[in-house]
Amino acid sequence: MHRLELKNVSVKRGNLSIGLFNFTFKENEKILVYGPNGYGKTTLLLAIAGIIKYEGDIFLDEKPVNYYTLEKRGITYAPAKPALVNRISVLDNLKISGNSAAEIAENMGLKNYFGQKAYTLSDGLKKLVQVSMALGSSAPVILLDEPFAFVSEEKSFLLESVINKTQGKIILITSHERMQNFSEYIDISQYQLRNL
Amino acid sequence: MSEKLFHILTYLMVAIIILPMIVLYYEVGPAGLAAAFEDPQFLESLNLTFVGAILATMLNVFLGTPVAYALSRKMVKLESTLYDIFLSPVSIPHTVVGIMLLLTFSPSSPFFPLLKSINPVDNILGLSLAMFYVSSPIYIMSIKETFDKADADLEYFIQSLGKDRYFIFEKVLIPEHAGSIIRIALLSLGRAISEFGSIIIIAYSVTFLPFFQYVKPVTVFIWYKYDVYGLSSALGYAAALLTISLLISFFIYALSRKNAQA
Repeated sequence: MHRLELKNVSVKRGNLSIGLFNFTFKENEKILVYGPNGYGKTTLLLAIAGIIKYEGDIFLDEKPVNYYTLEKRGITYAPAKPALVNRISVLDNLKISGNSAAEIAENMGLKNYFGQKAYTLSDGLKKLVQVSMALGSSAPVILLDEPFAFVSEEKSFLLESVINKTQGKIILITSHERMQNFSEYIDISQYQLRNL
Repeated sequence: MSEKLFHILTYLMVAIIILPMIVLYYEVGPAGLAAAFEDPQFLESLNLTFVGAILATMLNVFLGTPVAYALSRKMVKLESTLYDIFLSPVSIPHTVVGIMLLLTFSPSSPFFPLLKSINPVDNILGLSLAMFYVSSPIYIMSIKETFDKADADLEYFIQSLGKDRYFIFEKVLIPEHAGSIIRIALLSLGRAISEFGSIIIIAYSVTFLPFFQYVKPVTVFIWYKYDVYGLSSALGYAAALLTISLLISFFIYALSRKNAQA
């Protein structure tokens, strides 16, 4: 049973300062971090992923991961901007993540695009491929930064259902609005230490 | 008025660059140019220069690309000092480069016991080494700039999927920036071909295949014609080499345009 613990976590990034985060998330939980732009939703995810520095401690399955490098941390971070290796095919992108990524992408109706070079896709489709890669990774914690951005309404429903059906992982999602069907909610505006 | 001033300065600079080229082509004429390209000695010289420059460029690509990535991602300690060291050949006079290389492999060098099995004087190794030394700063600087501008989010994403730096370098950066790498490699090839100062010292006359005859690198060949036979003898060869250099420049320009459109 995977557990992600944040103990007294705070982050400073430019003029933004957020904290203190004290949470314990369990396997199969889907957590929504919501709030207005510029309040630190992405900053929180970047800190959990270990991409930026933070104060406090983060534990994954009771092991401290503060000093783990990104590739060994067991936490996958899918950025808000659709980021794929453009010059290779969609399928080759999916293969970077693992075998189940292609299956997830198929469930999202992307099979017809597998042979195409990633740069030929729209931002919305790129985003779906990126989320498929994240969900298909072996990491127990998945951080999805604005996964619904760029995605059409019809595909958003599909994406939401795929995220909800995902088992065995802890998933944190950011959004500027409060959405339904999540196990826990973090209102980022409640964690402003200093926002100049 | 102010905008006009910028126009005047721009055209003045273009004139400074282009006028000598026009004059050279005017003096040589098509027949002189064709005669240079038909001279077997010149073609042999050109062939040697291209082989040396291609080897130097390959060394740049295989060594310089990972080094530029390591510097760009600050993987090595003192990366800014190392970067300054890599750029230093830009400001070292090339005759000095030639003398330094010659001395490094000479019996008086403190490193001679280690390097005595390597003799780079008047052979393809020395030619390529000198070309690499002077062209590597252009390659490292341009590739590092390309990597600096690469999508950091994409790298974080792939890394967080459990992939290490080498995977990102090989499977993400190389395919994403293949066009830029080829363009920059051509740029350093052009720089290697045009080298004169260091190779006149370390590779003045090179033993070259197929018959191990002595061949002069093309810039030395042109200088030799000028020095021994006078200006008129060197003109055709100079125009021929200028044509090749311009073709490489246009090719680099075309690749840059294609990259920008993609």
